Formats: sequence, C-alpha cells, structure tokens
Amino acid sequence: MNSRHTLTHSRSSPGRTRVLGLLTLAAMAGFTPALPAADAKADPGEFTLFQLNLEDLMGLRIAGATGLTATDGRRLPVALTKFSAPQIEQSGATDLNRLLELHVPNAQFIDHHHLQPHLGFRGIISDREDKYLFQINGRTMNNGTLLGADNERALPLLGDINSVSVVRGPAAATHGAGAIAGVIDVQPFTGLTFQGSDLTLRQGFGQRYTAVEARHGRRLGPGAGVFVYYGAADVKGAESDYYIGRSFAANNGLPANVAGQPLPQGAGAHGGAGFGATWHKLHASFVQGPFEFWARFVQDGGRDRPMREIYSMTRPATVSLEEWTRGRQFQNRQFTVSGRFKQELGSQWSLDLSQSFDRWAFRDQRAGVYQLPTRNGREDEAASRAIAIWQPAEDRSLAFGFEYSHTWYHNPPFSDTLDRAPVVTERKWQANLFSVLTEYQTKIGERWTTFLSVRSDRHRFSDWLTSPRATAVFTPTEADTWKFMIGKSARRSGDEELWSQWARSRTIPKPESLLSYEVSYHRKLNDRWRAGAHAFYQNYDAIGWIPSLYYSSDIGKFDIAGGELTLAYNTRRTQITFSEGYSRLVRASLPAGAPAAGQTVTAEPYGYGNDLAEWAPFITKVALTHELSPAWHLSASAVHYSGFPGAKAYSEYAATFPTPPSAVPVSDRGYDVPYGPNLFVNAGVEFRPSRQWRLRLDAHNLAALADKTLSKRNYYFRLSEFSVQPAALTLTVRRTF
Amino acid sequence: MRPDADVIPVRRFASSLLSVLLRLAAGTLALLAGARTSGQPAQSKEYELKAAFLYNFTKFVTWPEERFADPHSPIIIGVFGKSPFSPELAAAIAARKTDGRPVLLRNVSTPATAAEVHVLFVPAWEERAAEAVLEPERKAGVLYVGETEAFREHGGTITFDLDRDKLRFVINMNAADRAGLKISAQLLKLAKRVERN
Repeated sequence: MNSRHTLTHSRSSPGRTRVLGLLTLAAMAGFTPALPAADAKADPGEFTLFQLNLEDLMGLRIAGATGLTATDGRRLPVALTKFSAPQIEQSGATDLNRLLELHVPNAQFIDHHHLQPHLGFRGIISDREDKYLFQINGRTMNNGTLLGADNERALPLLGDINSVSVVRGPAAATHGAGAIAGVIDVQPFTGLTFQGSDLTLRQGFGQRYTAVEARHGRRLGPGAGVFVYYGAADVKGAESDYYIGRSFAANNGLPANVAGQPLPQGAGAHGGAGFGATWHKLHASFVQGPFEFWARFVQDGGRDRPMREIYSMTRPATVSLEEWTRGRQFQNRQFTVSGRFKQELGSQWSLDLSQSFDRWAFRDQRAGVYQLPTRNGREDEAASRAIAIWQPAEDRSLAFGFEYSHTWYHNPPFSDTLDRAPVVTERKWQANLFSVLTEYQTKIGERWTTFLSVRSDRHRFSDWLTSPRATAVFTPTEADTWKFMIGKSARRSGDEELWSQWARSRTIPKPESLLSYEVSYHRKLNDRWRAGAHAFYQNYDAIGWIPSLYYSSDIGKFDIAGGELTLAYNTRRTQITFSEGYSRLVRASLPAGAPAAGQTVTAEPYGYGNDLAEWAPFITKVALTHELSPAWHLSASAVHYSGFPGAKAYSEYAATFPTPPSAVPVSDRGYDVPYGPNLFVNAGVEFRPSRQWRLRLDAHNLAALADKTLSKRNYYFRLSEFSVQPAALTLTVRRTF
Repeated sequence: MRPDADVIPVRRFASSLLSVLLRLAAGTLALLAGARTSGQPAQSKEYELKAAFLYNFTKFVTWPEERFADPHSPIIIGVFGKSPFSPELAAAIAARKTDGRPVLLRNVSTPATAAEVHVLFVPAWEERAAEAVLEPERKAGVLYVGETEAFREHGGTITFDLDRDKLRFVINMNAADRAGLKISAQLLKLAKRVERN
C-alpha cells in the first residue's frame, strides 16, 4: 500500500477502514488474471469499490502478491523487494545483475572465472547459482545439472520485464524447492499489461554492446491479450584492466606480473559474449480469461578472464600463448513453454493448475590452463503443479497441492563429475521430483495475520526434504508493520553430482539447509517517507564441492547474522531509495577431518579473522529518479561495498601454504587494494520530445574516473583478482508506434 | 544409502495421483460447466476498478449546461463496443448519484449514439473501431476515457495508466478544453500527469 492509501486510512472511519482493508485484499487476490478472480456478484450493492473515493482506489494494487495464499504487500510472509518496469527503465541498469545489485538490499554481485558472475543474499553466495531460484512467472528456471540460475542475468535486454520480485532469505516453503538464500521472480509483460508497439536501440560505449528490442502488446478483449517481445544483443564487453593480486616472475612466455599493476599480457574483453555469439531473448504470451500461455527462448553465455594459473602452471609446448591465456567461455540456450489455468470454483475454492516444459542446453569450453574438452550438456524437464485454495471465511485461507517434475539428462560427452576415475559409463539418466506443499493463513483480530507454510520434496536421489516456515505479522496501526519469521529451506545437491555419486556408490548425499530467524519493522513516516529495519540470524549447514569425492558434500556449519535498514521517499515526481545491508559471521564449525582450505566460506576456523571470505560486511545502495518536467527525467544511483576483510584474512591463511590452492585469494604481503571498498556510481538523463520518441543517456561506473580500482569487480574464490569496471556510456533510443 | 533409488521412487504414487487428478479434473470441468450455464461470466476485477474510477471521474468534471435537459437529468457513461462491464455492475452504478444526478452505464456502438453520452469509455480492443467517435465535431461535451497512450494521442481526454501495480490516469487538458469540459483542480492533482501543449 502506498502512502496516499495510508493517509486515506487515517482519515477513515473504523467501519470504512475495514471495508477498505477487505477490498484491498479482494483486489489483490483478483485483479490480475494470474490470480483468482473475485466471485461474480449478483447483488449490485456488493460492488463495494463504488464506496471508495478516488484516493482510496488509487491505493489498491492490481497485481498479486507473492505466496500461496493471497494477501497484500504489507503482510507478505517474507522479506520481499519488488520493482517494476518504470523503475527498471529509470535505473539505467544494463542487465539483471546490476539491476538487482542496485535495488535489492543486502544483495551482492561478484564476478567469477567460471561461467556467469554470482549473486548472493545476506551472506550466502556460491560458485554456482544454485542457492537461490530464478523464476519466470513463478516457474523455476534453474538448471539442475550443475549451473543453477546461470542464464539470462547478463543480457542487456530488459524490455520484456514488467516487474521483478526478490525474496531474501530461505523461501522454499513459499516459492519452490531449493530456495536457500532467496528467490528472484521475473514477471514479463502480457497483453493485459503492455499496450502498443515500440522499438528500442541501445548502444554501449566502454562496455561495448549493441542491442535492439521490439515489443508489441494488445488487449483482445476483457481479460484477453497477446504480447510478443524479441531482443538481440551483440556484446563485446570492456577492454578494461585486469589485476592479479600476486606478483609472478615472467613465465610461459608472459611478462612478469606485478601486484598492483594491470596484467601486462591483457586478458581479453571483460563481459563479452562467449564464442562471439549474438545473445537473444524471445518472449510471447497469450492470456484468455483463466488461461495463460507463454513461451520463452534465451541464448546467452560469456567469456571469462584467465586465472593466475597462467603463471603458476607450466604451459605445454603444444599450447599457444593465445590459447593458454584464454578464459573459459560458455553458452546457454533455454527454451520454455508454460500453460496455466487459474479459476475460482464457487465462493470458497479456487484452483491453480500449470504445466510446463523446459529445455536447457549449454556449452562450456575450458581451454586455457586446464585443456579440458568442451563440455556439452542438455536437460529437458516437464513440470506440473496443482494448487487448490480454500477460503472458508475472510479471516482464513488454506492452500495445498503438489508439484511433480521429470527431468531427462542427455549423454554429456565430457563431464566434470562423470569423467573422473572411475568414469561413470551410464551417461543418460532420468530423475523426478515430487513435492507436496501447503500454507494456512489466518487473521487473529484486526492486528495479527499468521502464515504456516511447509513443503516437502522427494527427489529420486534424496530423502524427503522438508522446508517449513512460520510468519506472524503484527499491524498495530495503519503505519506500523512488524513481522516475525522462522523459516528453514532444504536443498539437494546438483543433479549431475547426485547421479555421479549414485552410479559410483549407490549412496545419496547429505542435503544442505538454512534455518533463519528474522524480525522486521516497517513504518510509514508520512505521506512521502517510509522506513524499514530487518534483523536476521541464519544457521547455514552447507555443502560444497569436495575434489577428492568429485561431488558436493558437507563443508561445515556457519551462523550468519545481520540486518538491513531501508528508507524510501516517493512523490509523483521524485523517488529515492536507500538501503544499508550488514552480514557477518557469528561462528563456524567444520566437520571432523575436514581438509585444510576445504571450504572458502571463512578462514575463521583456521585461525584467521572472523569474517565471511566472499562477502562485504556492509553494502550501501542509493537510487534516485526525478522528473524535471514531462520531457526531462534524471536518475542517479550508487552501490558501495565496504570491502572484503574476510578475503584478506583468507589470503593470509593461504600464504601459509607452500603452494596455495587454486580457489582461494592469494596476494602479495602488504598489497590490500583488492580487499578494499568497491564503489559503482551511475547517472542518467532521459529526454521525451514526444510520445513517439525517447532518448536516454546513461553513464556507468563514474567512480572509475577518480580511481579505477574503486570501481572494481572482484572474483569469487580469488578475491585477490579483480577487473576494473570502466566508466561507460549507454545511449538508448526508443520509437513508439 | 537408499536401496530403491534405481527405481523412480514416486512412480507408483504418481500413478495413483494421476487417478486422483483425473477425478479432480472431471470435477472441475463439471463445476465450470455448471458455472457457465448458471449465468454470466464473472466480472473482471480490473474493470470493476476502472468502472469505479469512471464513476469517480463524474464527480470532478463539469459539463456544459446544454448537455443536460434539467437538474435531474442523468450522467450517462457510455462504453464503446464490446463492454467489459457486467449487467450487475451497470446496475450497481445506476444505484449511485453524482450531485443529485443518477449515473447510468450504457453500451454505445455508433458515433451518433456516442455523442449522447457524457463519459465515453473506449476499451483498448475497440480503439481502432472507435476512431470515428474521436473526430473533432463529435467531441463537444464528452469526456473520452481510454486505456492507451495512443488513445490520448488521438484526442482522448483521460487514459488509464498502470504504474507500479496501481491504477493511475493521465489527463490531456487540451482535449478537455476542446470538449468544453471543466476538470476540477482536485482531479488534476491526483492525476499522474497532466498534459498541455
């Protein structure tokens, strides 16, 4: 609810306020075809929206909230950040990674030498994107084989997105199996939410890319519409400096590397497309009453920079210098079709059915120091979901149902896990996942709303993994909202590793889990200002890659505490958001017999520091948009990471090894620049000379103009390495037809 | 170790589940069939909200006196073409008044009848068909409300705008002036944007 709505509440009579609250709930449950429509009412007197004045009506949301049972945004049983297309356009963010980095409190974005960069929430981040779910219209898009949410985030093609909702913290019970650290749910436009046609051209300078997007949306009737989007991008990346934190003498035909100076050899473009291929995104949807169909195709994949092994390993005579210093490159292709039926059945029941099919194919080339064969993979997944929602009274509702998915894995010619000795010869396999889930929502008086949610997942290679969640929301006044949340999410390992372990030993691994305790408080200070505070404590029982086993297993238990402060200012012409995120390690314990440097979450168990190694304790974000006039709009944003003291501590620990492991930070003694703060500053201006034309100019990474090592992007595992994010420009031209 | 993992573990369960699902689907179809035969399709909540906006607009607009025969003449809200509003909703509007005038919701299918109403709502799917009603000579004394920027570009007075999940509206003051309509300062203040050349 927005502040205007709140003001109306404060002036309303108690009876009218109750009507308004109920109407708000009803509206949230039914305005979008994706949600159950309210019951047709034969009695004209029951069209109670006519009792509201215009200000009240403008406070009602017409899109649904997240969760199984319907509620309003204020009472959601999770910590959720939502932003929509106007904010996305005005942010100037070039891709989802940077968009989420800017808008989601306590979210961290970090680079990697393997596959796509990584996102994390509240101190939980991994070298694979499998700690959170990436969803389109609520359908999980993660690759199960190994990569997780390794698709779509780097595309400079955001024109199909109507809104993005991000949950921080464990959310398996409400959002899907395996949601340990959070959920990103992208809601594309439909024919009901986008009208007209436009063409957008975008040219990046500094971060070199050319992108074109076309979209068309049309209502065909009440509750019916069609939307089509296509975008393509030729992404070259940035010829920016790359730093390796440790000095090396000249070797392998490479000149010496000096810590604190850019790699003299050069490292190829940063953030460019793998294999030089064009990136594509196609999305089409058709809505007709309770039916919704959509199809989506995405092709992307990047080219990473080389690791420091180009110095520490010996180049074979048969390998050219160009090949030796070539980073990993990869390509993803994902095609998804989905159909959904959502309908009310009488006054108390509604049904939500969906069926989808997804194909993900990837190519992963590791030439360089590893000289491994190109790894190809493909998985096909058919997924079904059926949820029934029963609302016997206005103060309680129950949702229950199941999900079932079946996945086919297609004969990978080379596989990290399957091709280690002893080689797994069965290269085609199948697995299925069956889940049951339920949520019960009840209101206790005017002030309390409670949610009890639980899901249990049984995979072919797992026992039942149960993820419960309980939330109590206390709303003592129209301005104040308290939430008390306890949630646990369980996650099985990657599907290829599960098969590898099963084929070799007929065993199933221990799952990982995260138990979170959270309290939040939000207050509407006045018509324009809103403030919020979150505090969390997480027990993280983690699994990670064990090289000697060739699959993931127990790496330790880590308690992480922290919080977020948020502040928002919102008027018709100006929007400002601010957040401060804090996450730190409380304690860590490793399993008996754990090898040295067997995990990189923290060096604390080895006696070095007490911080998370891959996480900045403080993350500050601020974004501003302002409408100077109908024709001129301004935007500015900044993201600040306080530094990586845990990585510095880990590098000190790594220095005790005669030969430091590969996947840890290693830097010269006294060279601490990589572990210092990162700052990304952006600004944009938009000119709308007419309805048909929009011109926009965005400047990115402006802090690099003052100090290029300030706008640096560190690498996961090896935070001693970083690439400079150079100052860059994006020019956008949109023609509306 | 789980000895049964070589066999997909939920196959048997899935089989029985399929049976349950088929029964559920049959029941659903029966319910849906019953719903379809028992009356009109459910009123879209989105358009119920838009109808409430349309009704509220009548409180903030002053029409030329000649548009009303007497002080008790109704304010007529016309809907061009295929209407998203159910008869029940029309009846609900008819139960309300603005400044002592009844408010009526009426379907409109021709430019000639469009000139008889005070507010004309043109749904997005009828915009092309409605182009004729937006010709200048037919605009006097009619508040044109649409759903797209293109409609406003072609002379519509107010268009709905979905902004961050909430319904807003944009006012084209030039169109209002040409139609001889006076729009209150309060409505202008609530608008997301007021356009003037």
